[in-house]
Amino acid sequence: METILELRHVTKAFKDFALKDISFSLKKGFIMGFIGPNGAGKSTTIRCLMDLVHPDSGEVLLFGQKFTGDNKALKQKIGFVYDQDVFFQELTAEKNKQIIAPFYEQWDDTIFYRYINEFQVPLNKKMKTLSKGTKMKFALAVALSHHAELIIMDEPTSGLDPVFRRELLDVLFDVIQDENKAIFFSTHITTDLEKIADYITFLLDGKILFSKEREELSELFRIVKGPKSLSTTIKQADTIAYKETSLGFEAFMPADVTEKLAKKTAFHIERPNLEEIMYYLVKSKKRETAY
Amino acid sequence: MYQLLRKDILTQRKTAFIAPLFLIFYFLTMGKDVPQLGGYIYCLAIGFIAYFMTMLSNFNTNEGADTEHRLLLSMPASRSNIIAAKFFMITVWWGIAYVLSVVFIWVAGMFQEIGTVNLLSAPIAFVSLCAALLLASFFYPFMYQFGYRIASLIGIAVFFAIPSSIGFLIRSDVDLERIQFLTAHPMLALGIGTLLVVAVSFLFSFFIVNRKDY
Repeated sequence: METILELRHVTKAFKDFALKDISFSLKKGFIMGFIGPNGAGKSTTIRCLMDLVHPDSGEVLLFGQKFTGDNKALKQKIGFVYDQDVFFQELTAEKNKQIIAPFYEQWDDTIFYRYINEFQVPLNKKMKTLSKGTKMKFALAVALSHHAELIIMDEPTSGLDPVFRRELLDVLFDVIQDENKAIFFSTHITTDLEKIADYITFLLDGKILFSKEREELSELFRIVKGPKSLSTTIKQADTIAYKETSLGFEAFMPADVTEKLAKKTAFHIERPNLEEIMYYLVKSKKRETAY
Repeated sequence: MYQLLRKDILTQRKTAFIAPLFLIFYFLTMGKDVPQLGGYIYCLAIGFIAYFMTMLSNFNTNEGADTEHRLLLSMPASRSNIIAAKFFMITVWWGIAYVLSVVFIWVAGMFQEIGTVNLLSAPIAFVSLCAALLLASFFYPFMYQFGYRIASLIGIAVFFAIPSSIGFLIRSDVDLERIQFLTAHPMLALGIGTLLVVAVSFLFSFFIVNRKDY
């Protein structure tokens, strides 16, 4: 399967923050979720992908091509959704569409108005009067209306109500039925990713902690729970994060370690969900560990 | 490129098209006070109106240039195209300013005596175009580097500096032999000077935008 998006050892330093050696790739036909806490560098990475930020070193490849000075042909194939107001706020949604549509050779008004109706975006209202969620819906309609092969979204579900979030996931699921397309999106709402993402890439403090298949990820870690009397035993094991609760303890650790423990003692072992993985990995200070 | 030009026109504030009305009346009054300038007062007037429109087109919808670039660069538009379109649009805004001024003066002439003002002359058109290009050329590199507030202040300062410099030059004891070419071929000299300033401004703007992160 052809790689549609690839970052190779991308670094970018700012005054108070840096992306360090970012490498991952996404193949056609898949959805990748990009997660990490606030300030981890998700938006900066997306800006590198969109050629808005020039990496200090490393390469960004889209559709197998490196960015050059003129990336118009590549941008024709990309649909984008940002977590901030980039559209013309003083103009109506319809006028914004009139400005944007001619940039795309394959713009499809039928698709655009279908999504606008489906998402119930009022086209006659100025962008500045729309709610954050409605602006996001408009951005989605734009991103999906020019037959883009790669959809890049920065926090598309933030500001959306749960009903529309679910509808959005259905739309993305429909889009990805075309195996020539791929979706890359960052989010804080990890439950969304558990529904549709094929791959998860986790960014922390400007570094990639892992970029793995979602299924594989759930096999990597375990949450071990037990009474306080067993806390000494668990502390001696290779825990990634440990916390005491009123009932006992909770330890987050590699799955292979828990298998050995389980043979010795009767711990309660659970598979963590994505949110728990994110929580414990951020909580732990083992940032240099590669999983 | 065409899409970028179209975008600038569609996002332009309506006040940009009305402002010439007030500005031209201001210059009409000023023209009466300085009769020796003749029709050339209108060159500065039209040039300034065009510059005003150019300036407004950059903060047309309350977005800063950086936000607009974030949108445009995410769409199929290159940094070089964005800069080229902005510089090309100076001429478009001048054209609109020129036509609007001609119409306003013609309409105003029907209601009040404003003397023999004929804006439909090649020298007035040419000098006003150069004035617009020069003013906007000072504006753009500063806007891309420091933002529109600083840039618009500099643009206005340049606007007042031009007539002051000309006045200073006329009053001073400059040996005209030294600037013989300028006095013998003022239009050609102005044209060449404008081209040079625009070229330098374009290169600076391109350099700034090309290395900037959005």
